[in-house]
Amino acid sequence: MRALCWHGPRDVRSEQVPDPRIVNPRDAIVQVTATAICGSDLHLYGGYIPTMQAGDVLGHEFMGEIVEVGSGLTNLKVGDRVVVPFPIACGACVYCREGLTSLCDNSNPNAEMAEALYGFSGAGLFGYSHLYGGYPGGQAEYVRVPFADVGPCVVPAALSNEQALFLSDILPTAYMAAENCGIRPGDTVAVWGAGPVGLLTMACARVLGAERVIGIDRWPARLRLAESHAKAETIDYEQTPDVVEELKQRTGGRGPDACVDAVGMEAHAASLDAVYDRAKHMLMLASDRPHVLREAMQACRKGGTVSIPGVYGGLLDKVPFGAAFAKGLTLRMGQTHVHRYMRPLLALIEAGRLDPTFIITHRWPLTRGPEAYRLFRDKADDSVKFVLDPAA
Amino acid sequence: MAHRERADATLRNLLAPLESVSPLKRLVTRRATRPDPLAHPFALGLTALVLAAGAAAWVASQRRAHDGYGRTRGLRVDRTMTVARPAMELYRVWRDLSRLPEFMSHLESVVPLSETRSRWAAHGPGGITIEWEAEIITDQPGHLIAWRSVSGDVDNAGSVRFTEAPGQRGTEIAVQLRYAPPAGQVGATLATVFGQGADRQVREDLRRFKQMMETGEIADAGLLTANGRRY
Repeated sequence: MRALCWHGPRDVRSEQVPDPRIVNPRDAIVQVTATAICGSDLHLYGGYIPTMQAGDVLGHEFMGEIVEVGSGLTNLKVGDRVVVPFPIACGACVYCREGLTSLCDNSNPNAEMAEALYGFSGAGLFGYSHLYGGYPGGQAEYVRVPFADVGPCVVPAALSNEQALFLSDILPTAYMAAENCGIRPGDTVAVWGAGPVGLLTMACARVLGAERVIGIDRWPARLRLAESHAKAETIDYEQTPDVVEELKQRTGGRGPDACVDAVGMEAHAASLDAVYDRAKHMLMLASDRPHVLREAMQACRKGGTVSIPGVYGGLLDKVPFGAAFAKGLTLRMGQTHVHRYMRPLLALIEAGRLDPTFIITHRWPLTRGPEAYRLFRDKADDSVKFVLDPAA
Repeated sequence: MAHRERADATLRNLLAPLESVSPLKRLVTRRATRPDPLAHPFALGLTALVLAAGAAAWVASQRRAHDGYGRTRGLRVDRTMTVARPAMELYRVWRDLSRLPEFMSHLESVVPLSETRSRWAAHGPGGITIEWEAEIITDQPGHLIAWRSVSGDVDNAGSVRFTEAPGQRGTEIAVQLRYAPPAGQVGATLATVFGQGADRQVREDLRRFKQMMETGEIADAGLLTANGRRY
């Protein structure tokens, strides 16, 4: 089959690889009908996530048709159209039973590695390094889906592929980020990063009742989308000398009630702390560049919440923990428990209350994946979201 | 230009304290010489550093019994794991010794010879098979199984204890293993083989046992190989 394979930093290739096969009784094989490149795939593309190996199949946002089921599956049949959550969850461990599926105890075959790094291992993920299990990903014609009686969600015929695809990751991620804000009537939510997750977080914050949403980015096309589709006010941080001060002034001196870091470990900025982060990054002394996190903690009102859907991988330096403590902030973060959000969000899409398709800017064949990665990384061609078709 | 110089000076000052983190540097250096599944050219920057810290912690966590002169006298491993199943169910699978190779990857087979006696075969260094005979010395259904070798290549003993975890979290399993390899070259080789990986081996065995008991499967990335390449 054809798949997008990682071969090193900024080296993604479209190649022929062996078809996946059923390994365990609860497996299914999905023929992919639509797959997307995630912002977090860019961390792999840039070489910031350890334990990638040449030839690893990328991709964790995908949907498709069931073409084969393991002997232990009764809930799915060949021909079902499903969307698949990016974390792999067993459904039986104490975490899964509590709905914390991205913390599944049993799905990472390389849990030992993750334990060495983080103390404990979360769930295995599709196409996201050997640290997260080494499972081949969804930017491919076929994918083996373990625990297919727990993850895949059957898509109603009335919904298009594009309407359902983002249930695999970014829509639940955005929703959880907004839910983590604990939004109450009258609240202002500030969102750093108007990429796919940031834009959808803004839209979800609206659905959850935020009075005002303020989006912060530097790309005009993305800021326009925030204004037009998430009814957000925007701040172009390159035109704004002090984002923290600007947010304070726009909120009557109070500060946003919740601040969302939808950027994560590779933040760009022109400020001194960002220069310092880049220098350290190059000197191999730090893994993450937490400029946005610093700003979010500094800007947030007293007693407010900082919600972090952006991915961090290692150690962070010069994080204003004193500010977080002094203001009694609540910090909420983590990989998304996709399973528990899929069906409620599917209902919102069906009811017409949420349309995640507005972020799609490029619809390309899978074979053009390497070029898509390059454009997406550079945010060139006003790209926001690439959806790839393996059949095209 | 003055502004630029000031910024550079500030940056230098900010970076200065980092030059004194020699323990971290040592870890990185040490890591680089250690073949490890985590090693990879793209383990960049701090990532390498964090991995190094993790690897060092792992090495430190391996417990060895010494004879007081720095020589390895034998090896003791203690490990616990919580499994979200009732104690009696876990006990039954463990007590059926022939099922142990399903989750203990170093075992080739365990053949029960009588109610308490069994014959064990394990993968040894260089593809050889290590064999011993063991007897169960304590058997408290749902609570405790203890055994010891009575003859064979490796003198060893072990126990597994099952205790109810609080708040319906299942059962805490506590495994204790001791290996006392014989003297001589073979013994030294065995000590190396068991010693290097014993702690990790037991952790991975317990994890597989947990996966098997909680999900009915053992997690597997299902990686494929073709023409010597791995996918």
